[in-house]
Amino acid sequence: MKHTAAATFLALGLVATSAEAKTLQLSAELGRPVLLADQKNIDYLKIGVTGFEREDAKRTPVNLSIVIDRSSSMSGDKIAKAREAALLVLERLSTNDILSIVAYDSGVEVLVPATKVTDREMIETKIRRIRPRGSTALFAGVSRGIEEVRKFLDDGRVNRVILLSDGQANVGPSSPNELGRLGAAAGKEGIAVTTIGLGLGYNEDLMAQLARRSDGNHAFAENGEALVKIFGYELGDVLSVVAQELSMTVKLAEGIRPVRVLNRDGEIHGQEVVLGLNQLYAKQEKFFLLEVEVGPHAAGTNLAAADVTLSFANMQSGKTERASDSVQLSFTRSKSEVARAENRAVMVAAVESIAVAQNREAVALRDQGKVQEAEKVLRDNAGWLQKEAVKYKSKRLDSYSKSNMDDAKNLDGQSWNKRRKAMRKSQHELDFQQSY
Amino acid sequence: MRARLAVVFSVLVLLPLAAVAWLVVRMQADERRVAQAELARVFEGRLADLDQTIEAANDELERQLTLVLEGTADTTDARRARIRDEPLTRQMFVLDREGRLVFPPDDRTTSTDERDFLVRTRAIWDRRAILYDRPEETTAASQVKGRGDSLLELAERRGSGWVTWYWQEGLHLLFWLRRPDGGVHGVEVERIVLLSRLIGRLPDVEVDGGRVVLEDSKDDAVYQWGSYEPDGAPPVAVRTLAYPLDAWRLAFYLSEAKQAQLVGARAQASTLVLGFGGLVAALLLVAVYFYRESSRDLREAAARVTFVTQVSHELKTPLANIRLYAELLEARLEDEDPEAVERLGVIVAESHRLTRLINNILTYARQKRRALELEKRPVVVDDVVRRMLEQFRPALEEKQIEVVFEGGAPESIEADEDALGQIVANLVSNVEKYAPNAAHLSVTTVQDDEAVILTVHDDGPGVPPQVRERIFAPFFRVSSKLTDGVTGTGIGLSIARDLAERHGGRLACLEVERGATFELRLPRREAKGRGA
Repeated sequence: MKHTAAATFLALGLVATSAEAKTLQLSAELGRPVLLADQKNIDYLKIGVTGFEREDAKRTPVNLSIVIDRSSSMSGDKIAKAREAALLVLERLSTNDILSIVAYDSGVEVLVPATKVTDREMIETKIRRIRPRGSTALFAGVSRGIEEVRKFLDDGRVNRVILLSDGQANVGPSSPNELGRLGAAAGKEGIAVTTIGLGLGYNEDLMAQLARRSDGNHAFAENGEALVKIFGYELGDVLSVVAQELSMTVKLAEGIRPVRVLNRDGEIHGQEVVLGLNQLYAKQEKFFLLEVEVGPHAAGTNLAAADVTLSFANMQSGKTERASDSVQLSFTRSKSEVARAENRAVMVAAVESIAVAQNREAVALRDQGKVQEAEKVLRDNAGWLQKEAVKYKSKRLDSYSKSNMDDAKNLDGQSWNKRRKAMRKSQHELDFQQSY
Repeated sequence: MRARLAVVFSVLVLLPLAAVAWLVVRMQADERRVAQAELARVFEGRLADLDQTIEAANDELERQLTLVLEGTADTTDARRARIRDEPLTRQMFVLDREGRLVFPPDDRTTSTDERDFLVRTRAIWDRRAILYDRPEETTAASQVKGRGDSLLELAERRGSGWVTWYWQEGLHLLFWLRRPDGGVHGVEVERIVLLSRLIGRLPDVEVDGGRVVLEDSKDDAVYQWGSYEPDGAPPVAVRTLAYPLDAWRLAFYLSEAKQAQLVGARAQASTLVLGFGGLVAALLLVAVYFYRESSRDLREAAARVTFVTQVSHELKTPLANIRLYAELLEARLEDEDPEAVERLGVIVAESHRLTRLINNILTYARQKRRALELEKRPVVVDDVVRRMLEQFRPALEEKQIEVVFEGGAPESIEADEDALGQIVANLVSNVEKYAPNAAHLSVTTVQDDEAVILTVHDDGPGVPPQVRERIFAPFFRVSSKLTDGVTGTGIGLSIARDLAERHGGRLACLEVERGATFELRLPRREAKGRGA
């Protein structure tokens, strides 16, 4: 797919004047650029990319598939709002965009095969005719959605599936892991799957995994009203994509061991870490947080700690572009110097990321029925976040601390189901810097 | 008689009718089975078409994977980049010619995914897994060795192939290709993507009001289409997918109602039933016709008997008068006109014969009505025989039949004299009727403590052995020339035997060398006979 990108793009005639072409910002920063000498240290490397605003008043055409759950549980207001949401999407697309509509119940039906949005009336009729029935063949639905997008797969478009579900997938593969793997494969093709859970009956783990592994968004719509709003946000994201197929390689100096990528998935091969993003939206930062273990160094040592290279498809210029950055690391015996040099923003992001992992752990414990343990994890998390919030004077951490406290209070009873969905949504939102 | 006829006809009609009905039911069931099998064949054919689609997708997949493998540079970085880009590729692997796994490398650059792969495939590289080229090609050698072939061994026989195994979430698929350098490289296929793409190739439309389900090894629906919701009944047709997807199967479900509808349309059962129905109706008609015919014969015969009985009653009185006056006249003219006396003798003899005839008919009719009563008194058998022979004398002389009587039963027994006379008369009358002129008739009686035995023997043509019993049946006449020109009712012997039995005795036709011999045996003491 990548290999044909430039050619297709040129054919579409969307090339902007290169002199004005803006590019995105790549930044690599360490949480602690100065470390204590002669001891092992843990540090955090943040690799961020920020989208630019297109100046040509154009936007990247989209290749979108809306996959709608029309199982019998969608009856009433839900299906009505789902229709409304789909119509809203239709309204905002132009004739240059490609749209397909897939509905699934016990089986799956491609209501509108992937087509340019020219015959709006036909599409509208099809949307208005969606009626609920049967069970939930989610896997087949999302498979068909991906298939429709694949028909016109094009690097010059934003290729996306929006999956709506209000129920447990009960026909076909339904484990979060399996759907996650499907999402990962879609991501490899440059197709992101945004998943929107509606009501309190859907499987948030499955939906979150599918979104996470394909670099799509994940949202929780408590009711039909919220659904329409979410579709609006999602479309805002989709229509503002400025770069796609972002691939970053981080090369770490000897003696600096990458431990894990905190907030997203990454591939670690020894001293090399490979990171990927499906797309980047305008004026928005997406980042990776890499936890590293730095071996003992003598005081006064200056180290070229990491080199980061990025390649991406610029949707305005239509070209594959590259960017690079690097970070330095020095060592001292002075603790205050270490503290002074700390990069507050990176540390806040790292703390938040670690807290999200703890939040996830609490959900896992709660799933095993260990309510008290889960509560303790959340309270500890909130306490730690509070401390760090003070330390870094971060409102963001302070608010997340409160949110964890809220979570701790809602682990049982009626509210748990809803809370769990909200937690999954927020975990995804924080890890992926989702705009909504 | 009528009841028996009804039973016979019922059996004659009902039996074939039941047989035909059974046949119809059987044939219909067969027809239905055949139609069902045909239906299953049709749907199996449809599944086979689908399987072909899947096989075609499979072939394409193999081509695609071959391209991926051959189009990737022989470096670790190139392979890792490829894995990141290829949706169907979950992992790649390379074995060198010695069978050592060189990719994914097991060193400090091994990623988490790669390590997971090494764990779940370790049995293959350690040669602990039993690998078969194809399931059906289980070689005896590998059985004996107690282990499967290594990938390299497989690659010696073919250029490419699949390895399938189960690990945690389900089926895993490895596609491998022989390398020019003698090693093997391959791809672990992302199963869920394969499945997802398969779904993209399968239809989503209505299927004859039924449903097609792609089922995994646990019979769980992976994908399905058609609006029918199966109700737990087994599928009408099933097809296991071609290797390497042979853990999955396609199943066709159809509602019972729809099945019946389709089967009915195929079976054309109505014409079959109509055909058999026609046959049954025809058979019934024939049966009814014959039943009516034969019962009419019976009715007519009964009417005849009734008529004859009535007439006989009417004849009895005038006949008695004729005999009486003829005998009176005979007595008066005894010495005056010998010629007239002779003619009167004929009249008397003939009226005796007529009386016997009428008596026989009336006896038979009474028998039929079960109204025959015996009046038993002491009787001397010899006297009765002498009197009857006297009665027959004119007729026997006419035919020049020589009569010899040897009386040996002078003592009286308890019997109905008229009935006894009737028996003797019927036996002698047969001789008179059937024996030729100048024959010999010998009548013998013997008496002991137990019984009186009367034997009537003539040297006429005799009774053929095969009818020796049947001559006692009513209306039976030995056909052919013997009876030609001889009149008679055919009930004489039947009545004689019946009367004998009513006396507790018996009448039989004995087996003799010449002529006919009838033996009447009457018990001297009253035995527990049928007599009243």
